[in-house]
Amino acid sequence: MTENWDELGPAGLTFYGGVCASISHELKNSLALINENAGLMNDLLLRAGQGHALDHEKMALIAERIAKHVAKANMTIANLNRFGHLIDEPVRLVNLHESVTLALNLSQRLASQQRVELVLESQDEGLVLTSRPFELVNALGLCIKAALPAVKQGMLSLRIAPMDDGVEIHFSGFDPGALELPSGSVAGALLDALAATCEVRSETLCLTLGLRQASQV
Amino acid sequence: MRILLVDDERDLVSALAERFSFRNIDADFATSGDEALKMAQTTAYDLAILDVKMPKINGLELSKRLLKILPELKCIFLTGHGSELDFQAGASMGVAYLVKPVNIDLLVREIHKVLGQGKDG
Repeated sequence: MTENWDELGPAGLTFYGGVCASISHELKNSLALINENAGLMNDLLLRAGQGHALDHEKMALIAERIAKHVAKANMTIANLNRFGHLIDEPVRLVNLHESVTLALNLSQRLASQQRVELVLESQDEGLVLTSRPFELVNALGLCIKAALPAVKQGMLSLRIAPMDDGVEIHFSGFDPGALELPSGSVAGALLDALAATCEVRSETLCLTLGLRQASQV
Repeated sequence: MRILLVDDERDLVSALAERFSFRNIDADFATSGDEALKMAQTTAYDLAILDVKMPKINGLELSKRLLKILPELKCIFLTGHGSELDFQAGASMGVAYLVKPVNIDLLVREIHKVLGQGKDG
């Protein structure tokens, strides 16, 4: 694995742009939701000023909705911040649980558009390895994107599987016959940059990171 | 005037429908394209307000399918980030694009404009 900044060229920029566009859409949606519900609250208060009864339970419900979408927007911005910091260093010690969680969060919008729930099954939060953080999240996102159209029952599960000589990320819950493995120059450049492989073994899409530096902290 | 609101965010369309009711506009809402198509089979809507980006059937595709059921239907699209191309495409199709978050008074004015009615129409 090289320490070069730009192993992907335009493909990296495309991923970066795609994530930023997706996040800005999420934020716009949250703002629209907050705007309409704050507006509804204002309408109800104006009507109360005109003599209509004020429904306190309804006001509480609307306030709850607004708080929910503020929290969601806050989470979206936190993901954008984490994503931005992926390019602080080309290669560094990476917490795999955090990387997979970020890839899941960034893919959430795409998944919900396809009515798929993304689930991280692994609870092991201490596994770290030396890797290229930007390319790793990009590769995970590419695998999720490839698996989504083939999901069978509305749920795509991810599991971090430590191996003797590296780590595998397992994706399951899809029909292998309907899956198109990530391919082409972008996928090739990503896998090369990460010294990784991607294959289907017994109904599981395996992203194998052959990184001998994997260790428990 | 009867309006159909379609957006996959229930918290948005339900609030918007209620705000319309305070402005003497009857609005029903759907949270998916499929639901909207079913509703259009039973109610003669004058106007549909559609989110552009929705799961399964996007707003543009949905408008085409709705027009097959209700040929006189007018459409307004709501989009997160309207590009110049979107606005041009909308103008060429004779439909309006508004960018979220939208001001309710602006939206009501646009509804009357699209339906060719005065403000009290």
